[in-house]
Amino acid sequence: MAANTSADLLWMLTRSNSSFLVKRESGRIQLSKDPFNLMNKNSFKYSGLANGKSADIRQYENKGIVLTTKLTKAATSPAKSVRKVVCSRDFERNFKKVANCVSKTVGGYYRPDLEKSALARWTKYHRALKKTKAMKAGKK
Amino acid sequence: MAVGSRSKLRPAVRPKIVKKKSNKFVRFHADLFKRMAQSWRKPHGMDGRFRRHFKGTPKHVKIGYGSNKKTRFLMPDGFLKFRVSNVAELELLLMHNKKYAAEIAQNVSTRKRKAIVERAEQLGIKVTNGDAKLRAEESE
Repeated sequence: MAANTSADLLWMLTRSNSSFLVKRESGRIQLSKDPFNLMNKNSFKYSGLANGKSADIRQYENKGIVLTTKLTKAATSPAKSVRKVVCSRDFERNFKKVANCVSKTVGGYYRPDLEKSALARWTKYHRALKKTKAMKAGKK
Repeated sequence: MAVGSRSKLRPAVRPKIVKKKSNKFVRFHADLFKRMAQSWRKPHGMDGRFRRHFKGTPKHVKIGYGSNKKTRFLMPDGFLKFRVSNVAELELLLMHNKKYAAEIAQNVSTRKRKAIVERAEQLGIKVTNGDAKLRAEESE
């Protein structure tokens, strides 16, 4: 997103209508497919569209679990504006790594408010990865 | 892959569901005529004894019979349904797997259903109709 647009304005524009928004009738939930949304929730806090700084953790079939954060300096060139950190199998070590990457940058803070959700997501994906491997081993 | 073999998934909170009325509201006099559907219609007859709430007539539909907001749309197992058409949509439920269960849309093929069910097992998401089309295939 353009660096000179306010996050609040972007949120007001995208909150009720975007291609990422997934609505369902029962339970009246609104989720988001947004690539920088840690909770997949359609809210200002987690919106990667609106916020200049945001993080996400995803599992890829060949790369494993990858943590991505947005780089504010390269906001105008989308290809360069993503920092990728590959998380290995070690749960404890990556737990600290994820917490650090999300809450701090060099000489400053990044998004400390997202730290808890990032760790929760890492925990869930780590568990899923374990299960995936167990299932694959079972098939062979 | 039998459904019973999977570990049982439970919601984080399971409030007690209170249904205020166990039997259904049926359209007045629908029992007298075969051609008349059971579904509720408001009585409009000027002199109708049912419209005037006479003694001995069935009860009318009222807003007061509505479910508690907290337990509305809740399935008996305590989960809320979330309709899913592909694996990407299933992935949205990762951080909500203690509240929402996935329900595979009716027009999803057997092949894709298998992929959704497998991924759901890895992510620890409950699928309400995981063996729907598989069942039909096996019986053929």
